[in-house]
Amino acid sequence: MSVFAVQPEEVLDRVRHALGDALIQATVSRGEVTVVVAAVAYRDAMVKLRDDANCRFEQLIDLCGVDYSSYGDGVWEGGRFAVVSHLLSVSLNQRVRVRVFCPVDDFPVVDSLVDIWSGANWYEREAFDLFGIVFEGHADLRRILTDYGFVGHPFRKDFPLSGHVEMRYDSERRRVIYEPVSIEPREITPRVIREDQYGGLH
Amino acid sequence: MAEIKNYTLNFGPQHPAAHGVLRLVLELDGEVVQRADPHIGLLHRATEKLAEHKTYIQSLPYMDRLDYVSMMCNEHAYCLAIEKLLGIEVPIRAQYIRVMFSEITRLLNHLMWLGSHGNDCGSSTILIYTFREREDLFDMYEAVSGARMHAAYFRPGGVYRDLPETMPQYTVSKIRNAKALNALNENRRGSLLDFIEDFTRRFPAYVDEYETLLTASGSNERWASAS
Repeated sequence: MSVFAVQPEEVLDRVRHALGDALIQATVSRGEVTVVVAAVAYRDAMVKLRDDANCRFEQLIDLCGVDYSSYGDGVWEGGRFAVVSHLLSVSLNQRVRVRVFCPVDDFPVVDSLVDIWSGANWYEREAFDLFGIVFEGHADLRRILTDYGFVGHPFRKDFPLSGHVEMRYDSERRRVIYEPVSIEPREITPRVIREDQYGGLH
Repeated sequence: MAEIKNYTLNFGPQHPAAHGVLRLVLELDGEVVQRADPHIGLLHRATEKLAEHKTYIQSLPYMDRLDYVSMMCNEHAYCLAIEKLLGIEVPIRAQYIRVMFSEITRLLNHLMWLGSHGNDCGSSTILIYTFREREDLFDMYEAVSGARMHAAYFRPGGVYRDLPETMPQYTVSKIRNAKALNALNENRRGSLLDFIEDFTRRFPAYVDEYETLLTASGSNERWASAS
């Protein structure tokens, strides 16, 4: 089993104390602390997590977007887009995961963390590129991973796996051209069909 | 005094001095880079999206290809994540095998770094030396998984199969005489574990060779002595 410098429940208490009303939901699962904060209080909450004497999360380890639109086979009731950050305190040897849901599904916007942790810069560009989440206050919110002139946000669940366009070199026009995709999505996951009472499992 | 303007230079995506595909739009003042705009997406393969459409085991070989100089370490992280989510306890022998192969992978990775770093600094010799040891490590990969790089050996819950009892040996060919063949197979008579143990005994002397190549006076002196 994992050995903790600070027990997860203790980390959760410290985070709960630092955040106050901004904290909407908090869970400890598999030794990891996850908190959900309100979008309006997101920026202030992150500043508190960095500066509070019992939190001191000096480092932003990761930040990414999540699309919940097909989560749990469609039983999800909450907002569609979330931004999830992983924070690490080197000085106190503790970690926390912070999730914030974008208030509006059609135009997801949350505050930028670039002026709190400068490392958020490229992560927010990535979440913008792949999920179309806009970060308010980001000075340079350009696409970072997709092709020049790319249309759409490829990690959204409604974006097809094989994309919309394919690229090839056209020898007549002597340049690279884009065309609608010619391949059909294939079903490759094996279907497991078992009779009732298989292996005495049920 | 003449006024010198900054100028913008495009570097890459394909460039002989770069190891992968990276494009940099550089703003230069003379030879000094003032600003750089890296375009990092050229190698992005949307592994997360691909994994969404596959089973957990079908996604595993993609992990080899994320960081293709630390293949089994990526598999390890992927398997550990699944095991943590499912609450699976891995058999102790499988844990040992996985840590051992993650360490072999780490050696592969560092040898790749050291060799190509020396190569970039002008010593092609060091590259040949580190790749000589990488061959032995790849043989360990091959013995256990059948593949020399993208092993797909780890599994959520353990590994694909147990370590082999025998090490594959070189066979007779028209370019090797019996004596050379014997020398090549010298440390391959026993099991894979015997071969790995033999490697761990030989390796410290190789590290000394690398240091001599890079630092000793009279050699290329790629690493200038600090003292």
